[in-house]
Amino acid sequence: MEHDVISRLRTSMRAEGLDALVALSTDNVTYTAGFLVPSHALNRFRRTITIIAGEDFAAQIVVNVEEALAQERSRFKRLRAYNQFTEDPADVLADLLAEAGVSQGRIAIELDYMPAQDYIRLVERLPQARFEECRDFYAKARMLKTDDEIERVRQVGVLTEQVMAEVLGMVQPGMSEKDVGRRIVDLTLKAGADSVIYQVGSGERSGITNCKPTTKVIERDDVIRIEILAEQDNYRSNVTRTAVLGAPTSEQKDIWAVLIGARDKCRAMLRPGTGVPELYQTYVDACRGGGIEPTLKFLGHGIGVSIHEEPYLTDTRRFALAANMTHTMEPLYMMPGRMGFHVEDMYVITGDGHERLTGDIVPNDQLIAL
Amino acid sequence: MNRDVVEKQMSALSECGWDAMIAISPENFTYVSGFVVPSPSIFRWRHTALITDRDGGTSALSVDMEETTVRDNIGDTEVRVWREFDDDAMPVLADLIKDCGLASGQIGIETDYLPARDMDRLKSLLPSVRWEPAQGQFNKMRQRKTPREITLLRKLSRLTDQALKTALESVSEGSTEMDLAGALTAAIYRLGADQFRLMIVATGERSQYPNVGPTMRKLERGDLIRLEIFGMQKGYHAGICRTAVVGQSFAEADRIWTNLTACRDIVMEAIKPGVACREVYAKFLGKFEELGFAPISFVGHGIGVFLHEEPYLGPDDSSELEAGMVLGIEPLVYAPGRFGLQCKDMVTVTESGCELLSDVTDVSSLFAVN
Repeated sequence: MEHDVISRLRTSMRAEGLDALVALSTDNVTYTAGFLVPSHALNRFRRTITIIAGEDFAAQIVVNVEEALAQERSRFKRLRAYNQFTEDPADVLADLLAEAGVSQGRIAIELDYMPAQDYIRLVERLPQARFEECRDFYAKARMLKTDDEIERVRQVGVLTEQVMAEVLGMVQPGMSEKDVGRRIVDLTLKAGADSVIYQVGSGERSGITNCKPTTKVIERDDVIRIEILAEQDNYRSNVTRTAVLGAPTSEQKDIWAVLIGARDKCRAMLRPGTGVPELYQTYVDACRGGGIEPTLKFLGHGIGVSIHEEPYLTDTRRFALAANMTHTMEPLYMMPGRMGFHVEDMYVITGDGHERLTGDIVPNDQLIAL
Repeated sequence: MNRDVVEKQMSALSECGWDAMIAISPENFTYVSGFVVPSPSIFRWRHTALITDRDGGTSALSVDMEETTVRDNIGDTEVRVWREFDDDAMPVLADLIKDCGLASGQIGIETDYLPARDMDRLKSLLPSVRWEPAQGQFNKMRQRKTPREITLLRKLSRLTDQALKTALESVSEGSTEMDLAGALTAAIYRLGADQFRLMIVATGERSQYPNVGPTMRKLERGDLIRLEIFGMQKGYHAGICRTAVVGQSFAEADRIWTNLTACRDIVMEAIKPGVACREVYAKFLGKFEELGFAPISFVGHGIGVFLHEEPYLGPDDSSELEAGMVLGIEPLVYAPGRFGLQCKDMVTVTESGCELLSDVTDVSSLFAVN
């Protein structure tokens, strides 16, 4: 009995007339195989590849050091381990595609990920095959989560917001941004996450979009932005809070009110059928109406096996929200050299509306005053 | 900008007869520029690249999200920005290449990194450019470390080793793996690392799993602990692993450890300029075979801006060691179903032999945790 994710992909392949589907990226291999090969994300010289073809062909290629773990964890029963020093992964892939009987077929493969050198070899080996991109195919398939996936996203989201509550509870003037970062790592792993990424920016540094924590000491009256991205069982969270170490000024409160007003207008539109460009435009107009030019070119992004996936909530995504999409909304406004404001929570679109996955544990309708 | 690396590139370009080479993988961008751009390793489509020409002139491509980081760190170099949601990176890169006067040149680019689709795009936008795979040149340059790099890696190796020691000293029977992880991350940041990768906390029966992180498992008397981390500074890695035992050690663990440390000594003895990698591996195998466990496929590898670089100390590598190389050496044993032990160190190849860089922890016996 093949896993739900694989059989759904097979059905979609049939509908599009594809003979084979090949994943090479960390996200799509993890999505299909159901587990992350540890060296995949860290070491690009070790390829790991999944292949779904025809009626029932399904196989995964891994470097030999990962074979034992793959046997234990992979949804693919057929594994082909290869020696990274003596075999060319493109040849191994060509062999399996030939075995699957698709040497002359339509093969959807991640050309936006596969190194040029590998592709050149693959085409040499299978000159009759018609290779095409599959970024949109995977994006569409992964946008609609299974119930099991929604649960996982919910779980890691809630875990992250709980950590955020604890972290905000212990921030004091005199601590450095790196001190806060260390606590984030500690607490997030203790809470059961498998890995974590984070940003911490205080004072002027809160106005830098990707603010890695530094040795800067946090001071009274600083604005502080904390973003936590946790990962549990390959599913991701992304939660951000902005706080002030003291009483927010009226300027800060006004800016915050605009961002939250924009967010809430957008929340009211979160249901199946809402056009993504319309949602994004509502956000932009609401910000501009309050005198703020939003810093990012998107309101939010899908979240699942990867941190950023479809649907990106921006004007170029011309489709509608649909049930079982999980995504963030993150109004963000940077004032370089002064301060920055960012709020981010996670949502799932339901049959007739939406559910807020984060936002109950650390409410943020007002700027958090510490 | 690492001028010492740019000079190496100029020699390489002159030797190959190329007009320019482009660093586009995150690690090679860091190798030339001297700093890390955070998101392209996670979001691989956010291409950020550095062009170096025969005269040592440099020009950079950056995704808009990372523009501030790139501009602030790159020094006196043109930065051409492409917008993640509006542009495709390749046409912007092609224009930059033309503006550098290279539209008909011979240009090296990493075909083992650049995705096939992007390579095709670049080829059609610049039909008069003769493209060459540059990864071989980059790998060659990176193997022989400059004095600057060796100084950095020596410091980084020591602080990483110290962090592991401090972490092991801080726990005892009843502590959890999370406590150990927290202590290690706190120490490594306090000692000056700016990042870390692949922290492995594997205790008791979990010590049999190669790449696992910490859980809430409590340390018990007789447990083996495999503790490993790659400390990072400015994009460089130092990977070190220490093995400890909780309370009194046991005969089999001591027998294995004695052999592993003997293997370590044999490997360090064998390492000198002119020796073939496979010869070092053969000497290791000669000693390791006495234990009766399955050997790993390589006992060491280059390390620098990436966790694993050439050369590999394995049976398939006939290349010769050279002074200035920095290697990780890592004899290990996995006893499936039971436990694992590893001793991983950083060394540099000197004119006459080998210098141990990770010289803080005494590994003559298993580290004692009480």
